[in-house]
Parts: sequence; C-alpha cells; structure tokens
Amino acid sequence: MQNVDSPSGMTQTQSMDNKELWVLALAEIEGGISKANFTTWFKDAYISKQEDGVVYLSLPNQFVKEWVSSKYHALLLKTLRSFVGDVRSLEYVVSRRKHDQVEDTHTLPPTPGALPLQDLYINKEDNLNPRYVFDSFVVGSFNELAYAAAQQVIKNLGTSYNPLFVYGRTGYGKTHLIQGVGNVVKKNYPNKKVFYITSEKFSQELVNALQSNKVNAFKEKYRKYDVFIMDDVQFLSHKEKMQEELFHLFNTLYDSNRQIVFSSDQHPNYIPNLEERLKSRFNAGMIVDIGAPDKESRVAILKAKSGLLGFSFNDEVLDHLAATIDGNVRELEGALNTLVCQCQLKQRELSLGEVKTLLKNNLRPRRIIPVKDVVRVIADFYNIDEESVYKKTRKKEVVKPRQLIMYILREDFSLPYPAIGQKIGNRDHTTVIHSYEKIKRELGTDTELEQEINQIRALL
Amino acid sequence: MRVTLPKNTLEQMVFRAEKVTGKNLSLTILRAVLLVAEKKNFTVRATNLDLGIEIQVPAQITNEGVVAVPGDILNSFLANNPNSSSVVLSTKDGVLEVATERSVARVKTLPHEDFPTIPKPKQTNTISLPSKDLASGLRAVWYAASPSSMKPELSSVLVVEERGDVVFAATDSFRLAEKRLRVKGVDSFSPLLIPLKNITEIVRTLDQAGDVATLQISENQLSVIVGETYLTTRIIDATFPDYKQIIPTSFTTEATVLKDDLVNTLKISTIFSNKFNQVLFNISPKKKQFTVETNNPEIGENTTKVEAALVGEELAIGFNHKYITDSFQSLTADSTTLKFSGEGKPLVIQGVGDKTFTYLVMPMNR
Repeated sequence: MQNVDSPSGMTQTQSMDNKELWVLALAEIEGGISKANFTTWFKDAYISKQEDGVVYLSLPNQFVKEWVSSKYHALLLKTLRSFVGDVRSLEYVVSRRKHDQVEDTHTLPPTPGALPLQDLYINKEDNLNPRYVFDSFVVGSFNELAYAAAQQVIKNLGTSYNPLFVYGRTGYGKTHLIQGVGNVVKKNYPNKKVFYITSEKFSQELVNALQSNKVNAFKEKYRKYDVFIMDDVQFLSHKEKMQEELFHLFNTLYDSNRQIVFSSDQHPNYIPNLEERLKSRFNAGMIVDIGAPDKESRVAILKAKSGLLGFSFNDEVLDHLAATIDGNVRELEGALNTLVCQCQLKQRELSLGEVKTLLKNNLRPRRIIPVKDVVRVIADFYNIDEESVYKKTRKKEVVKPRQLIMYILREDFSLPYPAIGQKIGNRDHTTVIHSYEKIKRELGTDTELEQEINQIRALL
Repeated sequence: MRVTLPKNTLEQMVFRAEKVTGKNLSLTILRAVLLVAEKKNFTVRATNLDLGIEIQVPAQITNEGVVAVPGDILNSFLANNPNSSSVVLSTKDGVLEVATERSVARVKTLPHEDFPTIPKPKQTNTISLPSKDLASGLRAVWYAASPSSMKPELSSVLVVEERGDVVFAATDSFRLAEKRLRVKGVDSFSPLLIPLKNITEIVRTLDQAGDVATLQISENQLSVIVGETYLTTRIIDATFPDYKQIIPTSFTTEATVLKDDLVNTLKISTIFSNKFNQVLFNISPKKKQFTVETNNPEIGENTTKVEAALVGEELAIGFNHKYITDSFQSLTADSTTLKFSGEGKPLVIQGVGDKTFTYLVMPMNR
C-alpha cells in the first residue's frame, strides 16, 4: 500500500480487514472453548469497525453482549492482539439488525390483499422524513446563520421569525434544515401539528381539489397546522392560482401566529413571476441564505457522512475529496458512496492514488464553458431569437442581451476577451471589453439591470 | 447451599422460570434454572438469550450457595408433589437434594459458572404502569402480530404513549388491532416494539406478580419489574408502520350486530369454508338483510342470516373468517359494529360504545 508514511491516517500495513481479522480470531477462539459455547456466543458476532486501535465487536443482543464482555474479554483481546499489534481496546456494541437478516425486506413485492402498509415509513401525516435530524446536520460558516435562525424558530414557534425563508442553491442542505425543524418540533411539542410539503405537491393537491370540487376541504386541511413547511417555493412561479391560494393560506396561518417555513433556490425577490404581495410577505420574516460550504465544512460533512455509513477514511483522502469536489453536498455524498462501494468490493482501504482515479468520473468538467447555453438562456430571457445574437444586427433589443452575454461570460466564467468575441459572432476583443465595462458601469446605478442579471444567474 | 422455603412459592418460581429456559439451544446450561441463595434472599434465574427472568423472594437460608439444575426436572418434581408444604434445598458433591415431607430427589447439577448473567442496563428511562392495564393492552392486540420473522416490526407489538393514552398495536399486514387505554399520569416514553414471542411470558408475569409494573427502557432492552420478578427482553430496533392513515374514517356500509350472533354464525360458516377460510358477507340495507355465506366444493355450502341494523350501500365482500373471529376476544361490548368502505377496502370492527379498541381486516380477493 502506498501511503504508509501518512502521519494522520490509519497505519495501513498493520490494520487488517475487519472480516479477515474476525475469521482468523474465530478460528483461534474455536479451539479454546466448547462447541456449544462457541456457537452460542460467537456465531452472530462480527467486527463492525476498527478505529484508532479500538476494535468494535458487534453482537446480536444485550444478553450476548453482557456475557461475552464479562467472560471472554481477556481471551478476545489476547487473540486480536496476536494478529494486529496495536489493538488498544475492545468495545462491544449491540448490532442494529440481526446479522443474518435480509436487509431489503422492505422491497418485497406487496402481498395481494395486504393492508397498504408499504411506504409508510415516511410519516404521511406530516410528510416528514425522520432521516432529517439536526444530529446529522453539519454546521459551518456557510450555514450557521440559517441554523441559528432555525433553532430560534424552534424555541419561539410563530413569534420570533415568521416566516422563516431559507434559500440557497440545490444540494446545500435546505431540505435537511427545514425538515429538521419539523422533526424537532414534532418531538418537542407533541401537541403541535407539523406539516411539510413541496410546492409541487401543494399544486397537485390544489388541482385535484379543484377538479373534484373539494376546495373547501383543501383549505380546511391546511389551516389546521401549527407549523407549515413548504419546500421549493420557486416552482410556484408562473402559477397564479397556486400563488393566490398560498397567499390566503399564509395570511390565515400568519394571523393566528402559526409558524411558517419556506425554502427556495433563490431570494424571493428574484423568483421570476412571483406576485408582489407574496414577495412582500416572504420578506416580512427572516430571510437567510445557505451558501456553498467552505473546504473545512466539506471535510466535516464528509466525516459525518462516512461516520453514518460506518466507514472511516483517512484524512488525506477526505481532504482530497473536499478539495476536488467543490460542488454541492449531494455531489460530495455521491463521491463518498462511490468510495464506500469500492471499499466494500475490495474488502480493504483505498490508497490515495486509487481514490483519485475513482473520482475522475465524479468531477464536473469545470473548464468547459457552455457559451451556447448562456446565449440560449439569455436570449430566452429577453425573448429574442438566439441566432440574432451572433449576427451583426444593432437592433436595440438585441444589443443589450448581447452585451449581457459577454459580461456574464467574462465575469462568471472568466473567459478571455478575444475568445468571447470569437464565439459571439467573430467580434473584436475591444467590442467585448466595451460591452463588459458598459454593463459593469450600469450595474452600479441600474437596480433593474442588477435584478435581471441575478435572475439570469439563477437560471444558469 | 441450604435453603428452606414454602413449596408453593418455589413451585411457582421454578414453573415460571422454566418457561424461559432455552430449550432448543446448543448450550446445555441454558436449559437450566439457576438457584442462588445469598444473604436473606433466594433467587431463581433463567434465560434463553432473548428473554431473561429473575424471581427473588426472602427465604430462610442456612448456607449460601449457587447451583444450576435442569429446569424441566425440577419443575416436574415440584409440580407432582401436591401435598407438601415446604421444601428444603441442599447441595452436596455436585448434587442438589430437594426434600419435601414425603419425597426426596437428588438432581445432578450443571456447572453454574457457565450460566449467563441477565443484562440490567444502567441507563434507562423508567416508567410505571398498572400491571392490569399493561397486560390487558398487550392481550387485546398481540394475536394480530405476524408469526414470521421476515419483518421484525410486524412480528412485534407496539406500545407507545400518546396524549395520556397508552396505545398498543400489532399487525401482520392482513389485519391490525389497536387498543388505547387511558392511564392516569403516565409519563411519555419512546415507542417500544416488543417481540411477539416474548409477549406471553410478559403477560403471564403481569398477571401473577403484582399490581404495578415498572418498565425500564434502554436502547436495546426492556425490563419489566413486577413485585419480585425481573423480566428483561430484547426490543426491536425498527419503525412500526404508521398505520393510522390506513384506518378509514368514512364508511359506505355499516352493520351493527350482537357479538354473540356473529360468533355463532361464523362458527357455522367455518364448517363449510374452503381452504382459504373464506366467508362471504352479503349486506343489503334496502332489503334489511345480512347473510354470511360459505362454500367448499368438497363439503358443501351454507348461508346464515344475521340480525343486524344496516345503513348504507349494498355490498358483497369476502373475508378470512379466522381474522374476524380473532377480534372477538378483544371486543368487550355486547354489540359490534362492522364498518365497510366498499370493495377492496379494509373493514373496521369496533364495539358499540367502546372506542378504545379498533380492528382492521383486509377483504379477500374473490
């Protein structure tokens, strides 16, 4: 193995794979005790992890744990040490599931005639996924404000920050945060009715209610909640009827001091086609953003996630992961899952070299700039023909978007001036510089332009 | 060891401990009960590594000591000594002497050093419940749990506190039973999933041992302390399905019957039911008729009328009669309401005036 000299990670030469070590240890133990004792106490045991010289032995239940830890501790420790020198101590844990049990029982096909119990593991009454708790939420500088606001909301329901509006780009943990609020409230205040819904689902329900003439039932249903959480409100843009319904619901809940929590991928003011009265209401409470996690936070997130998966990687690997994947948390998780999968497959730890090769596929090609996409999005935004951008026309409605395209390509994608000129209809680089400077200057004074750019950025 | 104690006391202790011994396990010591005489207390202990029991009584102890003997042997000996009033236990050279007034038995002992300890978790959440309530709650629902161990959450009984009620629920996904009991001043506790196979022992202990049950809940264990008995069981680490939303709230057809009428009707129907235990309910509120039909091509067929108050729509729907009969033990009221929500939807059975028990049965495909 390659990185033996790494000071931080586990000393890989000496550590042995969990399974391998346990098989060897079992063979040794089997010789020393009676067969009945052996099968009773060790049949379902396995090593769940090794960490900093501590070996964690997983046992099927408390009875076995008590007995094995009191009766066989010395023997086990001695045996393990004979194979791996640096075993400091041995801890016992009761395994979460029975060892021999089929893991994916939940995916069994539903038996005909059975009660529809499938999929009930997400609580349908409030739609909350119990997986989202604050225990697994990593707080860093990028989200501490949002986290603090959420905690404040939990403490003073409906009074301190109402509504709480969380925004941030996809995969930064909005859903985790707001569902976490729901789960904590549910736990701390059993009498409060919590409800979580995505704006998409809300729309669907309203459409269904309209079709079956049950709008009143729909309204009643939502008005009884003490804590109302709506995810991804940006999808309500262009949906006037939904916005109206949400507006009325908002007023009813707000007036009776019920807590409301929203999330979106952008600031409410920049959600295109959102009614003014909704915007102003979103603005009435607390608006917090979740930014991109910095590198330290990414490392912390990776550590927490790998802990949850029951794996530990050495710091060098995690560092490399955090450095190369600067995208969202979901991508980090994806990369981590790839590594865990490979580890399980190969039954050993991965070297940094291997990790690098593996991660190649998870990296987003950052350097390729989608000039075409930028042009398409901006042309669409101003409702002009995409082709006209590349042409020599000087029509006013084309000139401004064209300048904006150049500005964004320069500012956001740091493409060189000549390259921009060449791509946008073979123009001179001085034209590009002029456009860039012009937009930049106007941005200082023209707030409308600033909003437009922000909306465009959100679309990209 | 030398201990003297009333024969009935010892008999009861050994009888109950013997039920918990591990009869099918390869480790022979688990078939034994452990007898411990220490200071002024005499303890009987047994475990099958899933459930553990310890019963302690004060006794007249002349010599302290520990001994393990096969549970079934000791149990049979004591059970067949009806006329004795006291027993003297003493050990000598690896043999336990059990002496009653009439009879003396010498039982070979097993090495007691191998007898496992019974876990007594240190960090626990402790609550108290009247034993009677706990027992009746468990008894009202446990039969609906699944005997198969494929899904551990279904082969267990859920016990949970909900707004001052203690709620018991079990389901095998074909039917579901829920019992709610109002218990004054009960503390909140996290949902408990008790394995079905340990329920009988818990209920037996609750019935026999005292008025108040103390529950000690830890991460993997539930300990029930009633009077002199300490019973500890593994609890299941899974989530019970959120069953509440599948309980229908509006119904299309309702039939109210005398429970005994329905019991007797189903007894007749059973004779002619097919190998799938199917019974067919024909309900016609218009004609004021409720009939139960069974048909077994190999035996014959039967139609029985049930006197009932009917409302709603006409309905013909099939059920497994066993699932329906099971619920009768938990229905305490004289009259029972069967509430249907149409074909393919679960039937809800409740006693008239008794909202504490709810039973759901899925219909059979016809």
